[in-house]
Amino acid sequence: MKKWPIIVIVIFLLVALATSLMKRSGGDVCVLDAIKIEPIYQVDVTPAEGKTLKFCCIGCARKWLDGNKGKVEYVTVTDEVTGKRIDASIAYFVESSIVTNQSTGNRIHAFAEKADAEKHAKEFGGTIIQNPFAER
Amino acid sequence: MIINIFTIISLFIAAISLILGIFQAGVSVFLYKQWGKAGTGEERTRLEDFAYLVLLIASVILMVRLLSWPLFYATLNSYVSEIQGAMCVAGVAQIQSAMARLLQTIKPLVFFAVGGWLLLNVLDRTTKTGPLMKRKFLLLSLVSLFVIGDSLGEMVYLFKVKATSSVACCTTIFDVPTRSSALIPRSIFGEGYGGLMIPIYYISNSIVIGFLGILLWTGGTGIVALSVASLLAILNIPLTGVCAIEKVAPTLMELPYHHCLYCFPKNVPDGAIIITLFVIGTFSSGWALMLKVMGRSPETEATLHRYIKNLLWLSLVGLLSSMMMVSVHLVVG
Repeated sequence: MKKWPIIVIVIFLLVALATSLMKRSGGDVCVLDAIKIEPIYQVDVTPAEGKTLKFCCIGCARKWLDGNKGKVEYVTVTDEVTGKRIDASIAYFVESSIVTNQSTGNRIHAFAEKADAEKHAKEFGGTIIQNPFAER
Repeated sequence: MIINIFTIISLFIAAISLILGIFQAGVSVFLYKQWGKAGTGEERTRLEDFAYLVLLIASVILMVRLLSWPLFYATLNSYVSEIQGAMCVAGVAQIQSAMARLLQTIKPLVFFAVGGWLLLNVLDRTTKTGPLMKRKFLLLSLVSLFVIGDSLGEMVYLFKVKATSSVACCTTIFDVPTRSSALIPRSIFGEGYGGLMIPIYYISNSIVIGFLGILLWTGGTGIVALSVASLLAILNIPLTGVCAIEKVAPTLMELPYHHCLYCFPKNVPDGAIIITLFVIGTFSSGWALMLKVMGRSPETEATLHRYIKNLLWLSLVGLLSSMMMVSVHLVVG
């Protein structure tokens, strides 16, 4: 019986063990595309079963929801003015020229106050839109 | 064109490979025709000296060419930060997508062909009279054509990729419900296909590993046995690919909804090692068959058997290590 195959396999097993024990650092990442989440644009989706999922933008959360209709309990978005987390059903949404994430090209912004939403829409050529998560 | 150290190295290797590939293709056809023909002693010595010089150049250039496959992905990865919208290699590969797809198909074939030729060359060098010379020249002429196409394609592609390009991120390709890697298993197993992906991954890989183990145990290195091993290894590629995209990679990345294999080495520290071991394991059984077919001669008989056994071991160890590393991540992670 050759010895080298056993030695090689053991070495690679140790490599896998070491790397799997390494904790990922550097903040949260989007569950959809692994981009580091900017807290001001974070969207949390809580499914009926399982733990809350964090997304980097409204675009990613919508993309995930498209494939998981009827499985969602509630969605929380971040107010871009105060950074507070609010339920998506009471938030105001604006689609403007400002891209929140270059990779996903998301242009939808969330606000807690209607006045802030209107101000953003006026300044950046946007329009107030319906809750993009209404049909979840 | 995006100029960085990876582009310069890739272009340099591609340019040298292209020039020497054209030279090799022509010369190897000439040598294939001339080898073994009667002539004066002086003519034969001159031909042999020239042939050995050609083989030496071919060995060096083809060994460098083996690196062009991983280097291509390293180059594409270096472009990610330069291209708007790209967050991994999948984004970069959307630029000149047809050409990128073609290159990604050619490169593994070149890797296999070059690897096979180098092994045949090493086998022939263990003999005293070089009985495989004609076959080596014939194969070298074919390999050179692959190398020419690959080098030329790579140069054109690298010149065409522009920093001003804008692409969509990989989620628009790999995470849509209509992706082909999900449609095929869904149509076969229904909506609950996700739970079957990991068992299928293990069954498929275990069949190949088990068959290789049987061959090594029984000492079977016949052409039929090696053909079956290669066929199983080939069938294992799409099965493992689908299972990896749909379940294994997302689980290991801790991103259950992200199905991009290009993001896998970025998010799993030893992801590149897992893929490399799988590739080596898969290709080695093919190389064993290739040597069996092209390396047969009374003079190589004993050495050939040993080489094939070693390649089968390499195949088994590669696939088993890859599978065990995935298992460690699944259990510990």
